[in-house]
Amino acid sequence: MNETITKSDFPPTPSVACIPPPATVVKGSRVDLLRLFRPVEWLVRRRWFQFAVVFPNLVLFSLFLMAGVFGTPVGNRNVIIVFVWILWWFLLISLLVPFASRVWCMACPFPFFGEWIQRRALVRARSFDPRAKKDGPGVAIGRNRYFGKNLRWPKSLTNIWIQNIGFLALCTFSALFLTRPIVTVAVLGSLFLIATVLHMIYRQRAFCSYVCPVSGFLSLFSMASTLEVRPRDTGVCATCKEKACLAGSEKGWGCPWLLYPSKLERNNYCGLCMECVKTCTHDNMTVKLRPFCSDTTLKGYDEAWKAFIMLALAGAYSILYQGPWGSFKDWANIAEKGNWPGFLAYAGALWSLSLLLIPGIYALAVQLGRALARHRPAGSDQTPAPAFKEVFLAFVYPLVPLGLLAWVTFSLPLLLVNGSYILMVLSDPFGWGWNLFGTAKIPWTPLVPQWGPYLQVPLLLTGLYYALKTGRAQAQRLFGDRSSALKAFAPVAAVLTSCVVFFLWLYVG
Amino acid sequence: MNKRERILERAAVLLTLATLIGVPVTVFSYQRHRVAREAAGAQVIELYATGQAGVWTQESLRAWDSFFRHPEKRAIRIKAGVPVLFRLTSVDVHHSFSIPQLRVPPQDVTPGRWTEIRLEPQEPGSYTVLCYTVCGAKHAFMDAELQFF
Repeated sequence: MNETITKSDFPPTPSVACIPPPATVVKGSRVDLLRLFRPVEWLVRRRWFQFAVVFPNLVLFSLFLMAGVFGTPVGNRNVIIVFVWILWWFLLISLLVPFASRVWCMACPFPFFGEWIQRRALVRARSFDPRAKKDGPGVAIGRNRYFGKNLRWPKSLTNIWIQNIGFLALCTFSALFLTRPIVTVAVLGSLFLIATVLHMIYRQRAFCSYVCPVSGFLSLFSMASTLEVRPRDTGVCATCKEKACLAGSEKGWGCPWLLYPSKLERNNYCGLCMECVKTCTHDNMTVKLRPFCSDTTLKGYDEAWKAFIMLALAGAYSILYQGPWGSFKDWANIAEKGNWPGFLAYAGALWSLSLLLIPGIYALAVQLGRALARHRPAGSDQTPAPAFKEVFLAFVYPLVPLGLLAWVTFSLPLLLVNGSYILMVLSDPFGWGWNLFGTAKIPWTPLVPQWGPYLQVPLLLTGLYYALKTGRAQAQRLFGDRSSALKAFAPVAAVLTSCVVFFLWLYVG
Repeated sequence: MNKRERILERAAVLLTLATLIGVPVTVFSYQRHRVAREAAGAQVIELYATGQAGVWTQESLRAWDSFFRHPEKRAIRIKAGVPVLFRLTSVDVHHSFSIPQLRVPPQDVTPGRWTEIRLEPQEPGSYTVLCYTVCGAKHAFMDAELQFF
């Protein structure tokens, strides 16, 4: 079966179809990192680059999965719990996402087997010249050949609702997989399995774009990241005939995330796989350093609800895992306590808070802001206020920096308090009595837990600063005059400030 | 695909397959070798303590099966006249292991860690293992019979 490339070959990325994006304005300065660090450019252009970054992770994950099955059932002595939920989570949320966008997706092993089956290649790219040769094995998409069904992802599912619900469902059972290695194996193993099956059925990285629960929050928070993959010069892209970044070439695969890299304006769905850097015939794609919170446009309710879910979870987890209320922990810990009414109350509260309560309060605040902004003195410009959806999505954006910093604030004490377990399991990953590096028997030693609040307060205030700053900028963009913008944003600013006050009360109150 | 690409592709495939097979083989081989070296000729008796069931058991309780297996109390049979290396761990709470008749004082048995106790060759007979840390509702029943035969 052969197909030539058409625009419809590439379904819209999540939320693209919802509302038209506003005109892209690149704000702040950019530093072309690949020009600055030539050895890095050389490295990312190698075909073996991605294999080289995924492979160590594959080795680690196979070790983790083994430990989760055959190792000790005691969570804090099993590498899968300690490395995945303490170390990896902290690194991901506190360093990788804020400073390196979705770089985790570049090294993620979940789609490894699926992509191998789909491409029948680990390193090389399968390309063909559509004018010279049309017949051949597999399905031709663009100038690459793929294997498997290669169906188009259903249009009705081109959003991140599956990721939102999947993530919330997983997080409801967090007490289970944070303590029981075998449950973490089930979660990670399922992700490997689902990714592999979906790669065999659907085109390219449908799993990563629409299903992976980790991908959902990476997509949201990568908007705030200080790293981006973008064209050096959009003018070059406008005149480019080959569109190799989209269609692929002999140098690499067309964008596995089904994006049009030369028109990238947000980080959300770019997995930093570097295929576009390799394939671009004009050497025009690069990795750039940029200011924090540079992407400022949410494009659909699915993305907005992801922000609500992340904020609700940061709050709920802070209460659950760092609060003094033991009964909440018992409710969430269904496997140990078996308190089903308590668990159902906890799950119901978590889901209502994430999907109804916070969005409801936010919607009221937005509506109130619009009403306030509408009251203008007689004789002033009486242009109608922007539509609710536009204002709502714009004002949800401040939850991106705030939610990210709230998660960093929550994750930090986890690392400080449980960090010594990392050294222990480094020497004895399976809990079998090994002592590879002589650190297996060190006692549990919380690392400067008394510093926690002093680190958490500035983090939360930084989140609030960016939330208010970006929110005000959004209001200014939507409402034009300063007075209306301030009035429109005031209720939302009050909600954002209340959230931070709540977190501060929780951590230092 | 040129020759260099072909070599790289094959190397990547081999490396992946070697990982999938090599990681488990290496891990299990190392564990076997390590325990044998620790034992230094002694017979190794691995005991898992579970406060929930109130038993010391020789059934290995791993991450994948420890939550649904319900080990029963059984006599632990050990060859007399041969040194013994007890390897003890707990899958839930703290315990302490003691064999009063053999003057083995209480030794901490910590969740997820291994405690090793060496015992000189014993005459045939029967001895009782006791837990000296209150480890749960079944602490009072947390004993085991050692049969040296």
